[in-house]
Amino acid sequence: MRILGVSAFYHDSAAALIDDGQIVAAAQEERFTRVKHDHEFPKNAMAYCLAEAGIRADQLDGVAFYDKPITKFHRILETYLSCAPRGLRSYLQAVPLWLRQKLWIPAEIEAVFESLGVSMPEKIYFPEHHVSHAASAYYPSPFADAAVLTVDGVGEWATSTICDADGKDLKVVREMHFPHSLGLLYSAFTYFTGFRVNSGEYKLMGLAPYGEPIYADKIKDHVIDVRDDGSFRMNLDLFGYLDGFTMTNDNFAKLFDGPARPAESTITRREMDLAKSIQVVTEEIVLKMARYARDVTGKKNLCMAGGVALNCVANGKLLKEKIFDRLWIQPAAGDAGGALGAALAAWHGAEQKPRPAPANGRDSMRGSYLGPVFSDDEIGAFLEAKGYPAQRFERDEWAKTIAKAIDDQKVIGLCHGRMEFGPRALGNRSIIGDARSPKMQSVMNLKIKYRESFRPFAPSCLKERVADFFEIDDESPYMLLVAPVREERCIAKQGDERSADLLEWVNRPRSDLPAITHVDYSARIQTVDKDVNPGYYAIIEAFEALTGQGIIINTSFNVRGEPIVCTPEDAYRCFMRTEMDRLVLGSFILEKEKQPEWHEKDDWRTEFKLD
Amino acid sequence: MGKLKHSGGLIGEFCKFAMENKIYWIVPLILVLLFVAVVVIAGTGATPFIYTLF
Amino acid sequence: MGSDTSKRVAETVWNWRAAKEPTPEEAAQAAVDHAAELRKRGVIQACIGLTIAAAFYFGLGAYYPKWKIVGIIGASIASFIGLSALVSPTGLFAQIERGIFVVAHWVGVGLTHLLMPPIYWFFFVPFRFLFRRGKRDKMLRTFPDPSETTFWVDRSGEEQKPEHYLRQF
Repeated sequence: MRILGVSAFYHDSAAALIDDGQIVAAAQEERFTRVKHDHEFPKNAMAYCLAEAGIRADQLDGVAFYDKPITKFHRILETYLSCAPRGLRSYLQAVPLWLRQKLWIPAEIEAVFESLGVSMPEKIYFPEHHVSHAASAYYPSPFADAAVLTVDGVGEWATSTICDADGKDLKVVREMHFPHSLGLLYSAFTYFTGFRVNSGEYKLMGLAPYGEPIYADKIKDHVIDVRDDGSFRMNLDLFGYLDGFTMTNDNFAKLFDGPARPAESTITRREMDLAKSIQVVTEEIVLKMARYARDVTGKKNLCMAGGVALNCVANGKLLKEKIFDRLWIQPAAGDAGGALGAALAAWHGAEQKPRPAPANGRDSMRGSYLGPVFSDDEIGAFLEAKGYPAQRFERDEWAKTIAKAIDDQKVIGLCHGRMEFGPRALGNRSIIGDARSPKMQSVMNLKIKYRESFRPFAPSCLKERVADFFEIDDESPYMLLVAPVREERCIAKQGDERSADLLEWVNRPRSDLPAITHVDYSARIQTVDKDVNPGYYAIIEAFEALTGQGIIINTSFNVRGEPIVCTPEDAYRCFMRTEMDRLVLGSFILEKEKQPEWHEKDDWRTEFKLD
Repeated sequence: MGKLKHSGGLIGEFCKFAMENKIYWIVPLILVLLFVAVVVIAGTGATPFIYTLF
Repeated sequence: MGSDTSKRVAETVWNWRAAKEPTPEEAAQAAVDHAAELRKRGVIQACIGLTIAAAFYFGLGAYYPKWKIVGIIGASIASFIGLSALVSPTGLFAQIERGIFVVAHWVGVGLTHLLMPPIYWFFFVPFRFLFRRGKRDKMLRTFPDPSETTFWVDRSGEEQKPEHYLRQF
């Protein structure tokens, strides 16, 4: 039985296909349309999933949409009821959109199938939003049973849930309701500190190590009333999201010493301290929730999903606290992953199909490499037709040549194998460089990503070597855990850094791996497994043979505001637009200096909206 | 006209939802909103409808 | 992965071969096809318009002669649209169409702003006060709330049936 999972109409639309419970393919729509966080129905991602499976749309047995529209609309109506007569402007914006599109999911799905000349499958499933998240976290996990914690902005009513999962059964046992939401609280601080909601949360987390948690008590006294079991209530007098267009209001600004920081303006001490304070509070709540989840379910393993599960700093703390024996986080923890979860929930929950026991302690996400791959034949034909000079290598030579280029301080775009599903590039659509270089961080930021960033890059290291570099003894295949760099690798702090400029501060060397060491001596780690990604592993292994260090920089293959590249053509475009030195397309390696001159009609820098 | 075909199902589901959760006020509200939706929807939905008036 | 799959995937999501610049002959043919399509559309629209106009003229107009004028105006507009489609499909007709779409859009926006607020004022506002008086507010605003020991909602007793997945609530 083939089920297509769909998430759409909010942000990060995606499609995922499962065949008798096995994950066949999954991808975000933005990668194909090149529109960041694309929210339209994922027609292209769906077409890709069908092509990967080698089936036509009429061979699908069901479509699973990732939430329950009627319950969600009820929540929206209740919100306007609660706020009236305030909220008229918001109502005029939101309700027509619901009446036009969001209430008509079966009709929307049918229109897509009709455009393909086939009728839609008989079964349309609507798992709850948080059940979709929970299913995406539990079913692919390496555990036979687990507690599942999902935390995000909001689904229908639920903003956080605790589920008890065993075999095929996934049961919601506790949930917390809108408008009290850890995801929205974090987004409110994201907005207030001048970053974009839905994409700037990562920046807020990256800013936290610069600050002191001086506002933490104020947050706990005036903003959020947290209980020992991790449940909480928020002070709604401070927020604008119920009836307006902003996350926070004037009362919030009064409490935190002035108005929100305008986007792109200078980041001040206050934003750093706010970032640290909300990070500390978030971690405290996540840990409390996890302890409660353990008490309620009695399970030894924890699975997590929902946007807040992308907070790798909190995840690192969770792992360190050892509340659960093992922790597994869905790499596509945000709404895109809901597409996969919806399909899995339909298979195991609605169809009641058994879940085979996970084998060899491995998850079934296959490294999250669930997107399209392009063959060397296809790439070769493309390069030849376009007249782009390239050299093709056998695997060993390929890895050695790339490793040598990294050691020569080249910046390399890497586009090979299946594209990653989820927000992180994990070595198949990545830009890589030398983590030992003190200059690499600013070179990559300014010449390649076209941004000034206060965030260091993340490292990819061989799975077996992770303990040589970091204070961690577990794998982190999806770059979802933060851990300290080993003490003996670190350089002591030089004086009081808090007075330094943000960019100068981040560029100060802190360890023998300066490009990946954050100001608090931590790093966001990806461990690479030979069996899961042999190509990427071979590169790092060759780099280790050459330099003695099995670790490199890994950042996503895109410029600021652009979706991560998908096809070799996207990769070539990005390569030529930036000051990258080498491009790897499958088995081919391209050198910048040998490429024909690159011309574009318009200034591409205006193509992408800053995120 | 796909929506017209699905409107019966949608209203039916809203009624069941209202009965199960005892949220009866939602039924008249939904009927009014859906009725209004046919006429007012800005953009693509309304365009062909208005176009035929010309 | 089989080469068939790889080929199929490339054709679906990265069809760079088809993305090449069309030859002048292909471009000319595409322009002819496009014009023919517009012409056809214009004629269909004119026919619909003329039918409605005829209904006004011969139907309503037979009882209330004043309505005949609506039929005449309608028929004139429909004929004009039809003719413009036949004579200048990509020029005048395309412009008329664009204009009508813009007008239709703003009419839609206008109607939305005309009809949606009354529902708000006649429904949401009074019900809000009614519900508040009955202490029924789903938004739970009390802060801090010492009366509650936990804010978790217990769903462990709830039966989660397979058929629940098939409904939208």
